Amino acid sequence: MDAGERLHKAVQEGDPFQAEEVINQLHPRMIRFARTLVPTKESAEDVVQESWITVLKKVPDYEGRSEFSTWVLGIVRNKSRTFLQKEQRLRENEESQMESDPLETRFHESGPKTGHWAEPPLNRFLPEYETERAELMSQLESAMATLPAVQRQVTILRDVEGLKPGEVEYILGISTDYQRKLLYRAREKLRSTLENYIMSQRTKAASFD
Amino acid sequence: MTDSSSLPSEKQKTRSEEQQTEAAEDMDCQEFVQIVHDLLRTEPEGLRSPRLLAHMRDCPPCVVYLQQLEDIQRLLQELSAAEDNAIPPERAQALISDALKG
Repeated sequence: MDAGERLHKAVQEGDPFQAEEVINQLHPRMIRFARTLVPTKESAEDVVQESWITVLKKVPDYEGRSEFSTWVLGIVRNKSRTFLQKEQRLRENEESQMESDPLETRFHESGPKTGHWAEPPLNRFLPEYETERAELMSQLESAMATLPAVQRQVTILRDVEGLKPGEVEYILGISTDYQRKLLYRAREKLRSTLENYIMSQRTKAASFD
Repeated sequence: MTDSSSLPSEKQKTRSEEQQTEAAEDMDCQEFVQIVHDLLRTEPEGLRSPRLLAHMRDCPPCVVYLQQLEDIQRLLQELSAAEDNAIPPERAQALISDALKG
């Protein structure tokens, strides 16, 4: 029995323990996603609260055409819409920043080495910098926070939740092709943030020599 | 075991294998980067395709690039696991008792 069937049964049969189990299981994922949709933690909690009320009311209508969690995240998305009338304008604004390739200057643009690294990446992050793991995490966390909203949404759903492109299209209404572009930019931003952090640590270390 | 007896079979490569090898040599780092982004997380098994492996054998920086992306995936998982997004029990119970009433 999937989570949707369990919750439906729990509501039908008045079984609070079953229901609570499903709620506890899905709630963190809903908060995590809502936090990418609305600006503050508080508004995310309100959105998820609203979403739960709708989920519990509508669970008899859930037809199992998508994963239950995908259906629920779609409801979170709808609830967030009421918070964000300005979203379309925001998205257009982000699109205008998406024209150049963030890795553009790192590759040779002409000559026999065209398309190969001019400025290659030097180190992997883990486990080389294992001792600085906590600092890497906090760098990553703040880089996530500075991503444009739509990039953050796609990153959370695709890379953290591990959803498929089709599922994200259902939830966010963003085509697979556009998801590709958003994901590339988002990951590149996260990667270059950690890269820059490590470079700055090296420079610091070198200056002590 | 590598010995001279394996050499003839090298020469017996089919035409399509030769073309694949050529294609691997032709792949530049920019193309490698794009392919890797498309496969990451959704099709990880694709990251071990002969074409990508052939490029990685010749190109240590691209190996590092892929490792960096994989490290970030790991850190992202850990970051979200470390967050406390649990619903307070009293709120879960309030939701449920409302739903069960209706």
